[in-house]
Amino acid sequence: MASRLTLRRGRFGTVGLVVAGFAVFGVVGTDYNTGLLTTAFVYAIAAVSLDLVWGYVGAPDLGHALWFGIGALSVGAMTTVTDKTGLVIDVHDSSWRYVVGIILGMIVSAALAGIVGRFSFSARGSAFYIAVVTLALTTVATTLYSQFPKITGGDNGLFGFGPANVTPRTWYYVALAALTLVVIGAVVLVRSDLGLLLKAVRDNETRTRYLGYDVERIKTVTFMGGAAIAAFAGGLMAVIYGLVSSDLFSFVFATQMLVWVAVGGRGTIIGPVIGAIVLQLVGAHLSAQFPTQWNLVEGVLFVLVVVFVPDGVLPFVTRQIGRLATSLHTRRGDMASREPQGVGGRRITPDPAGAPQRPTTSPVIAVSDLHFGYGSLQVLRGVDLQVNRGELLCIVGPNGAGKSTLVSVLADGNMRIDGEIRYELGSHTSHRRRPPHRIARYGVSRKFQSPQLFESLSAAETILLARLGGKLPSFWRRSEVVPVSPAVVDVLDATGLHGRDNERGTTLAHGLKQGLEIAAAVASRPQVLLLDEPTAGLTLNERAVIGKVLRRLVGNGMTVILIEHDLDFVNQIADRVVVLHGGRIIQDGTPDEVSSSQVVREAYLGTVS
Amino acid sequence: MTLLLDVLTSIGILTIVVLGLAIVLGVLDVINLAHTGFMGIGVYAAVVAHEHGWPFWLGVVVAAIAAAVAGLVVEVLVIRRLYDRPLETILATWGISLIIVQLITLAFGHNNRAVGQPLATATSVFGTPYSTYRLVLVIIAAVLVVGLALLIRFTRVGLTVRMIQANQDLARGLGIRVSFLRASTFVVGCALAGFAGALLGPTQAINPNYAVSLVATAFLAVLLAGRHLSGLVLGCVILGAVQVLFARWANPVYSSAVVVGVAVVLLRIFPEGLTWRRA
Repeated sequence: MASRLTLRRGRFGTVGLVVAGFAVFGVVGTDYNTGLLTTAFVYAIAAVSLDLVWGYVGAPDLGHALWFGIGALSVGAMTTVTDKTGLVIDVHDSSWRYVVGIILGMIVSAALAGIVGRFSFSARGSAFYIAVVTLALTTVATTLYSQFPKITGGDNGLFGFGPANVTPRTWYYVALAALTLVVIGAVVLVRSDLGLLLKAVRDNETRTRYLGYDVERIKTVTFMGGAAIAAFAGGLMAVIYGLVSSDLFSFVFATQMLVWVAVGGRGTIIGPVIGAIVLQLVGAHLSAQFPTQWNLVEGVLFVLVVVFVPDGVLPFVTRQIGRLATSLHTRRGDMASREPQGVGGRRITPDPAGAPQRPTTSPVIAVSDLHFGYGSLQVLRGVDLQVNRGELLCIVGPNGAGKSTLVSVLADGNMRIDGEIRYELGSHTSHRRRPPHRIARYGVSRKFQSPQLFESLSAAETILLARLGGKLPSFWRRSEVVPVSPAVVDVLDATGLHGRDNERGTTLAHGLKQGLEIAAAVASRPQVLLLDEPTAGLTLNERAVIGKVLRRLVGNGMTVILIEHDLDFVNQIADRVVVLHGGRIIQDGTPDEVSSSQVVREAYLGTVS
Repeated sequence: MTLLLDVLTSIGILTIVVLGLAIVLGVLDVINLAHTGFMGIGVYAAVVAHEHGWPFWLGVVVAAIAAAVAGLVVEVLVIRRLYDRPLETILATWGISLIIVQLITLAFGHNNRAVGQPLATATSVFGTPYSTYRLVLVIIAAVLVVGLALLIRFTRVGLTVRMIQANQDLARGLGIRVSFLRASTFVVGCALAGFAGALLGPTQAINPNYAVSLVATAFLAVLLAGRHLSGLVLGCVILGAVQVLFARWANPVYSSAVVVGVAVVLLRIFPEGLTWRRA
């Protein structure tokens, strides 16, 4: 822990040093170079805003220049007077107009981004979609720009405004200060608990949804935030240079932003900042001599990075340095440094306050005459099932019987069914169909058949998100400890996950992944736990332990619905067994009744049709 | 009548443009944002052919070949490495499109060029005189669509392609040369782009940013299409019709904005695209 804390202080220390360095450069640098840097700082803000959208929630915004342009235009339109053809004839000199212009631009951008996001982010739609829509918006924006000369200045743009009596050096410091604030804000955000949620959305939308989070809303809000920050950068640009034209909205500029972020390293905040500043400086020097060739170089660089170092140059370099450092250590025989490197630095601790729920005997889910099919394939053909509170119900049946589909339909109200599913979950007593994240929040937690974990999240972080169960995490606070109920500790101990808090979920062995999935499901403190083959790929021993854990959960009043193939295991732990075959329930009773049933035996051997 | 023909020819043009895009998306799961770049390669190949005094239709063939060769190079150098990272193909093809535009600018400059005016006559359709060339475009579009439908439905090529779509590992296990077929698909898509680029040459201004005005509509149409040829035609019909009708009755400048709006709303309602049957 201690090392982690020092590391954090060290990182902000580095930022402080760099900022101080730039501040000194503002005194000693030439006018030309400080001028270039002023622009580069503003561009870097735009790069950070794109990184939040693209690097963190995974929405490739190909038209990010649009938001920048709106911010700039807002300032220009607020401060100039144009004649009918769009020529600037007068400039307002009250400085509040610049402030209002920037704020207005941020609001308009965020609002428009909200509409775009609302329409573009959809659980069923293509991941390409947002890219195409933003691209399309860019073409529309550049077309419309020339159509409203009264506001935009048309083809000439707006020019000649900007506060009087401010020296370029002052602007240099203003831009530097703005960039520093934005970077610190962004770093705090992505290192906070909310930052975890953003990464979770990027890594695995479906899983995030079933933890109770409204993925579309998170993406839309982040998109709005990114648009607002880009608009802020655009507004700042306009204030400094007193110039707005349709170029600020264009493909070319939007692509440049993509290049900064991709080359610098998306999902790192600092990488895109470095990318923007370095490429802007290099570009300014080279494009003076070779204007066309420079764009070509940028294009080639972009493609090379996307193909060969998809996570960007900065992470690549850090990785290489890390590898070099480790190899040096090993040569010195320092074996301790070869421990697998953890991520996140969060610790799981028991929280004895996790009170057990009261066991009752009322139904929690009642299914009546449920039909469901994929296209012409009818999977569920009239299922009637009542699940009682506090029981451990096993669903068995041959492959293709519809077990997983039944569980999916219970957890995902977006699947269109015939028949009725009634939930009696206290806060949600209704048969209305709800999207997965709502059902998860009402207290139905689902574990998928194959483990679905988050690429960049540690075990502790996964459990932290599960535990919040759809409540929005803090956007600035960073939890160092993750308190969990004794039940979760049970699962972690049983599956051998204890002490592996900081390992990435996706690098764990299969059995541990299953364990983490179950632990996450339990950590969300559900009323009903849906487990699709939780013991697949586990040893007999691990299975027995999981069985015990499940019994204990049920003892505390939780309802568990379990899909399972191993009938011996079922006999040991189930209160009740339901046999599904050909989309119907053919047997429903105690484990003894079911295992002695002739019908069931025939179903498994294939004589019942 | 002219309005009806305008709608029809716009739909035809859009279909020709979108077809190559749809093939690449449908089979490879790649949105080829460099599609307009390959159209640019096509049209400039036709420009060169025209400036050498070759007949227009030969220029069209040259255009398709030039775009196909460029497509092959791009596939081997870039796309091949990205099939298992579909989101990054978007970025890579976007970068490639940037490169192509810059190369064309370097080679040909910013000035407008021409490919000649073939069939510069008018044909009377039910008493309304209309540009013969634009009518021919509609026929070409129809032939392409029907040909593709027959290819998918009735030949081995169609079957193999559907196998790759469904499960590439299994297809490879069954002895199908997956990487060869993927490359071929991409090349065919690019050839169609070049072909489309040259065909539209007489109707558009030819400069390095060739076909950029079509880009938004084309990509939205292909998303609207979903994974089915019927959806493709339907998508083109809707967007083409909206564009022309709005331009006629309201304002041509806003029509591109309206097309985007219509497509976005439709995609909200049918996120998987427009297909006749529900998947």
